[in-house]
Amino acid sequence: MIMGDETTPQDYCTLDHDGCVVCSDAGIPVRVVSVAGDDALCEDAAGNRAEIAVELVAPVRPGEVLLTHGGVAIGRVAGTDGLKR
Amino acid sequence: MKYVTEFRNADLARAVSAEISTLVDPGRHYKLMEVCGGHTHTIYRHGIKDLLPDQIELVHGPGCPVCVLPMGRVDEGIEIAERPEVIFTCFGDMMRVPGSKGNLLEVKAGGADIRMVYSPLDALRIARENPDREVVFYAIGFETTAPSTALTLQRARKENIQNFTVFCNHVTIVPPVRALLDSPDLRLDAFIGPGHVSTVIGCRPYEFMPRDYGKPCVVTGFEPLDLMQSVLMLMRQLDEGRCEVENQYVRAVPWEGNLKALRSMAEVFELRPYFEWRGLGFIAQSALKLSEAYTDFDAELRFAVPGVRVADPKACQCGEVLKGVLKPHECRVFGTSCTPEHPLGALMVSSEGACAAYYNFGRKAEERVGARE
Repeated sequence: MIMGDETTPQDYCTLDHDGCVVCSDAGIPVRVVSVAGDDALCEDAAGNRAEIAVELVAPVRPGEVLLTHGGVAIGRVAGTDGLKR
Repeated sequence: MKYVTEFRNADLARAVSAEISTLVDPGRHYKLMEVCGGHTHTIYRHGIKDLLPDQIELVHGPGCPVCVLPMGRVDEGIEIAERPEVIFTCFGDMMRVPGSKGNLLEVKAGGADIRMVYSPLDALRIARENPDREVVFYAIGFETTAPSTALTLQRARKENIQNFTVFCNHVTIVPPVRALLDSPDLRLDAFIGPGHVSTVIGCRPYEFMPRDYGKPCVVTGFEPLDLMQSVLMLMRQLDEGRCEVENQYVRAVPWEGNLKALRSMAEVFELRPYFEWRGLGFIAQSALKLSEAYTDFDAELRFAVPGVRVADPKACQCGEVLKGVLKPHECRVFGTSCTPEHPLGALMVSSEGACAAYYNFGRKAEERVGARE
């Protein structure tokens, strides 16, 4: 995982502060930065970046907002700017 | 920096709160159960309870996989972790779950090679980097987490990685809810359905709730306004005499779920005939094990895990809290011998556990109410 250095606001669900990862709460919206095969470099609301496996929601394009859990994209966040900055 | 601020708008929350109040029958007591631990966490963290009329009670359900894991499965994980050839990997919250003789963090301090990972894919990477060691991933979680384990095992097979196994403790959401509904000491009016589990399984699996038990269910997101809107939708159903499954979390939950994730899970897992849940006992077809095609990756087979059953500590009342019969603070050891620093029961371990959430946030609300009185 590639994480940012800045402090993450506790109220926000982000890649480096997502509460309990095993709980179904931990669906983190991230924006796709670039795609390489089955993985995509993604960025969360706090600017943290991580490689996310995207087979389960493929095909994905840069700019799309995905819902990730445990390093794997499990869905899309549709119809909103799920990730404002 | 903002994150879905539109779902935390205080004015909107107050407006929804006012509308909910108009739907309440003053002579009736409403019990709504949120199944998911994430909802419990949001309710306490954002003071949702204070925005609802006194007649509406939110009951916390069994939706934290760490909290419902029986102690015997923790002990068996520890036994695998203590083997000298093993690198044992797990999510952070698992490290502190008490087994009968301690937790993984203590075993790690004693010299075992136990590593916290964020994703099962990190565990697979460790296996790639350590071909002379046995790398075991402690898999736990509902249908939200199971796809990441399934995908990891599919990659392991594709790459022919032979020193990687999974100790599978994945569980499914519908059987325990059905078991709760069959429980004679439970009285509920409606369900706040889990959001991210439903991203994977969709809304259709909850249709038995209105059909077989006459209970409405609203699949719900995790922001404060999601919860408020969900309560409003349930109150409308109760007020209008409707009883159905509705989807509040449409921005993330397709009605049919994620078919690719479901296909991946169907290839890698199969249902166990039964599985023990802390506080709920054995529930048929409520958990997953690796399928015949993936037995090579099954840690239970590779390390001959015996399947030992260990009773919970007698003082612990996690079971009653899980069923919504007791509020966390009504447990006899809450906040005294059981705290987040020294948890006795699993509900105090995970940040999404009802007792930990109540200890960290809910207590203060109770104190405020007490001060006002």
